Amino acid sequence: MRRQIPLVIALVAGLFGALSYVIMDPVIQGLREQMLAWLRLLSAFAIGLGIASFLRNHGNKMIRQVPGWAFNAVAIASFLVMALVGLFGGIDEGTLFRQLFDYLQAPMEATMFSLLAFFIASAAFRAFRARSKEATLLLGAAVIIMLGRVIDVDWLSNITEWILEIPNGAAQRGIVIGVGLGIIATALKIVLGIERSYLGGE
Amino acid sequence: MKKTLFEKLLVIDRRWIFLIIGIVVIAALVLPIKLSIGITTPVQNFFDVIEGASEGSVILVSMDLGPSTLPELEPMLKATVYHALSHGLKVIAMTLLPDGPSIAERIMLQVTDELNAKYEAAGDERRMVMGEDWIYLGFRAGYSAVILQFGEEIRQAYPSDYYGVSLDDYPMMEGVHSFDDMGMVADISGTALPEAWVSYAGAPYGIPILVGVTAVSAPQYYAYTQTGQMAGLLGGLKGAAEYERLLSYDGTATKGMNAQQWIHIVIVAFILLGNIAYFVTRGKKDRDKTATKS
Amino acid sequence: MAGGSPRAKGMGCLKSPFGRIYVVLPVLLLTPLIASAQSTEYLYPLVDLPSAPPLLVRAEDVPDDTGERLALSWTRSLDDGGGQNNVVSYIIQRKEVPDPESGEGNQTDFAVIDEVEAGTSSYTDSSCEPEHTYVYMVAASNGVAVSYSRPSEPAEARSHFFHSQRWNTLIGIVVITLLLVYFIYSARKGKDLFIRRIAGLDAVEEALGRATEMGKPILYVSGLSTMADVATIAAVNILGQVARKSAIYEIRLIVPCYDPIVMAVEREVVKEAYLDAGRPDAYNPNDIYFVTQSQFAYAAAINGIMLREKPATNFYMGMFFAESLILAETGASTGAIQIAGTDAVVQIPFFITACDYCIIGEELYAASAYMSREPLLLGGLKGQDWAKFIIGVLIVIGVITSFFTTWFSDLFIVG
Repeated sequence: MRRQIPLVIALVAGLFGALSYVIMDPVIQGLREQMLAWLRLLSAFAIGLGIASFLRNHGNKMIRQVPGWAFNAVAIASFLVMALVGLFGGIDEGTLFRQLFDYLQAPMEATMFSLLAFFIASAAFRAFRARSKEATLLLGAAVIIMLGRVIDVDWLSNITEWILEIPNGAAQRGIVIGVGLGIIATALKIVLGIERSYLGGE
Repeated sequence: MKKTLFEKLLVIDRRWIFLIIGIVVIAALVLPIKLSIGITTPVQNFFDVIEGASEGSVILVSMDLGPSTLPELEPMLKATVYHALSHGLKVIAMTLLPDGPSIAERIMLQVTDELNAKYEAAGDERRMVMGEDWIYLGFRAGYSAVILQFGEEIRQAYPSDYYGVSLDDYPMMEGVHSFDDMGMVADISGTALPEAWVSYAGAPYGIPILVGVTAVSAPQYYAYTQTGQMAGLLGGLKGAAEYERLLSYDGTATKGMNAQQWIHIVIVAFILLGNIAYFVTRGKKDRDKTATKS
Repeated sequence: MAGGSPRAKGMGCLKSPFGRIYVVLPVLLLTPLIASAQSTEYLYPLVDLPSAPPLLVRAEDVPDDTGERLALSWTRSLDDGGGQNNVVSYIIQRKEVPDPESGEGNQTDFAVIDEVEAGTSSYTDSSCEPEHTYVYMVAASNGVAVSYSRPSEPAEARSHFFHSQRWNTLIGIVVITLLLVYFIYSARKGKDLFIRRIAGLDAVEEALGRATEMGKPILYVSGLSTMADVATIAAVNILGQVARKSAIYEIRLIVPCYDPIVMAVEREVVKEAYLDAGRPDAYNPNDIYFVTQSQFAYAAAINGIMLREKPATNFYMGMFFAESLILAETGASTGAIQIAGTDAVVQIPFFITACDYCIIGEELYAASAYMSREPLLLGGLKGQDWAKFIIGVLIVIGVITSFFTTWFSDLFIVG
């Protein structure tokens, strides 16, 4: 029973979602709007679930004083500070919450993202070797695009755009069609109850 | 056996590469040696769609970026809002990411203040007024569910704006209920949401979708620009710099492009150096093998 | 001019010079005044001239909706676009009338519903009640006076049961469903279905063997998306297989999660796998934990785990974004064997560069069928492949026919 009910819900909701895309009856469309509103509610609820899981996980590690538990304490303290500052001080422009976000969190996340520049350089140096015909082709395309994107020379820009639009576009389109079909098939399998991994276990 | 220079180069500690990259970035930002920026077709299309819109058209700007992609996407976002407002379009700003609201609000306030200061300095009587020229809706959870609701009625997802004011209290929202009442959608995103906008807004309602993404994501959207599913595309800092050039807008993308241009050249140099080292060492190994056999 | 034309009344006086003075003098005196009176304050106290009215107002039901929209069209006023009585806007008015055939319905007066700018010749009224009949009038306004069109014919806002422009989507879903069902049925009946070799999935056994020999843990990263994402579902399926094997080989399995719901599902999957392998005692729920939903904070946490725990094998399965190269490069620096699988086409080049094996696009969705060889899953995969083949054929036909006609490609436009 515990596993049957979610399967039935998946079947009904999935079929309804598909049919409501093509059936325009006002009653069906009204129900569809309700379903979308509930979907948004569930997404918002998931944020609360994340908070509970975060606190439980780090809290347990702090209590058990596992190696490095100080960092778990820092994580919980950061969470509490941001939450309390936001709740009692507001989140508008000029508040402490906004300053913590703009001057601590944003730069930290931007810094992590900027690590990519260094990693790309080291990965490119290590991986772009002309070991085979295909690797040479990849290497050539990479050099043309990297230069064509930054150097304003007409013929180079034209070749760059051609590579991005034609071979790249064709390859991306092929993968996207395949992925799209995979999504349709998996969605159908979920609706029909064949794919049950989202329930956890067999 | 003593390693040659090329053999050492092949196994160089990656930290030397990081150091060289760091030095080049700092030098490029400090030194005034600049390379010119050409305009590409997807960026021109992005510009043309907004430029060709009639005054008073509504543009929905979805600011789906977080702190991590802010350096790359903020310039194009500011330029888009600046272009739309200065061209007389009505801007509805929103975000579908939970860490987007404060960023989106800050950008809207900065751009409108900038425009108002510019008009005042020029003696122009125009002013950007919230509720008449722009509104900010804030964040709603649900991603594609929110987009789908916009197709029926905006007020289903957002009965009120970020400040708690009912949408019906704003003059510019009179008669604006769904995608049918809007001129275009611009999604500036560091996520995969542009595809959702194409699927749930562009395809069923025929509304032009303009997209601004990080440079890493841009190649996958060329397939969409070719078919017209995306009416325009800004890719990364380069796309933002091109857009600023079209607008003659003094933004941060153009300043940042200098570093990117030199970094690209340095990385290409690394790749070529690595291949030279590879072929030299491979040739040496082949010669050593032949010598050993004989 | 008021009082009629001088031509009609006083033509005789023009024959004598003195008579001409009676005409010329007033004209000379009045002309500067009239010429300078461009502002409405001077002109309109003299006359109030409305613009020419719009013509041919038509109202039609908008198809494929739930009956709340009617589309209006009209011919613009002759004074729209310039002229002395230039139109500045059109005022849309509407009244409800009983249905002409059945006589049912309300009767109301005309009321203004909207105002649109000059130059417009169409409007969509989205505030209709389904199955109600309306009549419209459009008035041209020049800022001072309005002129009304004739009322339109009554139009009923009808709801339509079926969206006529989405039939192609429905047919596509039905065809793919039938293909899936057929091949699943065939697989269940014992038919042998071939799947080509996927190197990345074959390497899983080798990777787990390496971890066993080194006595180091396995790190399994299931991506940065939710259970609503198909890539995450595929990642969870593979996790089940990996967990079963790690239970048998007694390898520690670390699964840091990005999403709390995914974490809950993965705990169940791993627990079930350990039970199946007969090692429920080895299951440690603390090794499957939620980290954060912040992208780069999550990447930093994974990097920290890789540098501290030094896993022998790293699995990156699911949806990834910009952090993919950060994870893969750090993992490569620790010397771990790395197997990645994602349908995020943008991240595939980074994984190919930094990982030992890479599973691309739908190979990830095929993974659970490939590793388990379960008939249901194999049949689904086969159906998917045939659907892809049909799409390929349609694309080729579309490309060839597009040289001559757009009829074929128009069949695939979705409204």
